[in-house]
Amino acid sequence: MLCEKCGKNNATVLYTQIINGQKSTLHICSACAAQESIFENFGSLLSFSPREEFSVKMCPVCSTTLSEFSKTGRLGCGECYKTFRKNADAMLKKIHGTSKHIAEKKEETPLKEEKPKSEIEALKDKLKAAIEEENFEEAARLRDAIREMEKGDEK
Amino acid sequence: MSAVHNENDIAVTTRIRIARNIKSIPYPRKMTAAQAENVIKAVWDAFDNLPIKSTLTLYRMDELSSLEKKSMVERHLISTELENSKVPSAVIINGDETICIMINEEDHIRIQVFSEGLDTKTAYDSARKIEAVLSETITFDKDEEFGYLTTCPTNAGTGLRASVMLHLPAINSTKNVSPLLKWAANLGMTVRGLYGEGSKASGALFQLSNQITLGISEEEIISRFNAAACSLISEERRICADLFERNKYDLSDKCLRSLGILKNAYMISSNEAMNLVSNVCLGANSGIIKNIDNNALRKSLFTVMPATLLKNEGNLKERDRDVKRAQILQSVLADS
Ligand SMILES: [Zn+2]
Ligand SMILES: [Zn+2]
Repeated sequence: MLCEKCGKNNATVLYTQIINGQKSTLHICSACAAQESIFENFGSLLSFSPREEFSVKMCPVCSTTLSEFSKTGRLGCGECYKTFRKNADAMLKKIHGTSKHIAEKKEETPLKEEKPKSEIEALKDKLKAAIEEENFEEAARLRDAIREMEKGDEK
Repeated sequence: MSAVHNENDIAVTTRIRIARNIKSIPYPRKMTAAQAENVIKAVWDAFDNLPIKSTLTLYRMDELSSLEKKSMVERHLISTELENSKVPSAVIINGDETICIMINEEDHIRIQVFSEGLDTKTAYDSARKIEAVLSETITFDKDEEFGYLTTCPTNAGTGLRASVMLHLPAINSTKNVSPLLKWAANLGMTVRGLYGEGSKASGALFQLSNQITLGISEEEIISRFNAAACSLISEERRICADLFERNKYDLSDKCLRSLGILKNAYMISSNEAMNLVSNVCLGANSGIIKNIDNNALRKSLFTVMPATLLKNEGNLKERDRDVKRAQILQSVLADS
């Protein structure tokens, strides 16, 4: 969700202020939270009244807060695991004794998620394939091309 | 009388469950109705052009009557969480009700496969195949370090939960199941009573599940689970034999008395049915009662639960329900 103050950045902070016992909350971005002016803007009219303010870290995608996570033991989306990584890690360790997943052999990363290979790595793959196919002419050509590129990299 | 197959004198059904979420969509507790509809569609469409699709039916929760939903809960096909889901949600079930995929329960996808007795292999192989089909068209939410991500961190990593429903009348009759709970926790397992509060299980039906889903391989999860289930089953058999040895008269009287009521009563409530069937099966396991098909009898229990009975038999008043229940159980007894 977008910041309710600037409307530009993703809201990452749940800003709560309590004025005379009236609670109001705003979803704002970290830049806005850092600005002191926000405290004045929201409180100036009632600056004489007792006032409390809290800024809470919040998931930018689903607005789950840390206190919500601690209370329910539930996360709201995949991004929550990044936002509250330390806390999620501690909880996983408490439940399972570890937080390191052991991948199955079958769980190979799908091709589409692979990082694009650099040109040089692609050539090396081709070289391997050429040697396996005993296509030595092609292999020699590829080997020279790789040497040229490696020289270029060193410069 | 049927021979013991997959420990089915004690093990009723095995369930393998795999939890998955779809990447870049908030989990059900935080998703919008539109996102929930997209998830239902994505899961259902994943089976397009596959032979398996003709055996599957999609039931939307908002199109099922509350009776139909309650009956699915009674038969352990769906959870009460799905029954009461606040976002659009659904379940995909195959013809013989061995495959049951909950959509938008606690996680986007909960693949469940059931098998008879204690049989993790059949259920696991089938659940894995379904997961592979879904992964062809769906990108799951996964973290390099944590593995598959779930709403509750208790399911993260593999998302794999193996469970078996066990009928443990001898252990239950010792009235002290707390050592059992401690034993399970030490092995990374949990045991809970399926009906009734806390440790007091009505019908002596318990569920054993693995608690740890992360940091060990799926193969290891399954093999540890099988080992725990087998030792629990042999403990039940040991206590059963011990009860018979020490208390033959009382045990025989209790089991045969229950058989007498089950065979002859005009009305039976669902709670009474559970306890009578439990005693009769205990009698069968200790050799007191001959020619009883434990498994058929226990399975018939699920057809005489209140909502399922109403769904199958039409609108019966409470007393007529108890009469019908007695008749159904008596016809099962006559067949075995
Ligand atoms: Zn802002
Ligand atoms: Zn989130």
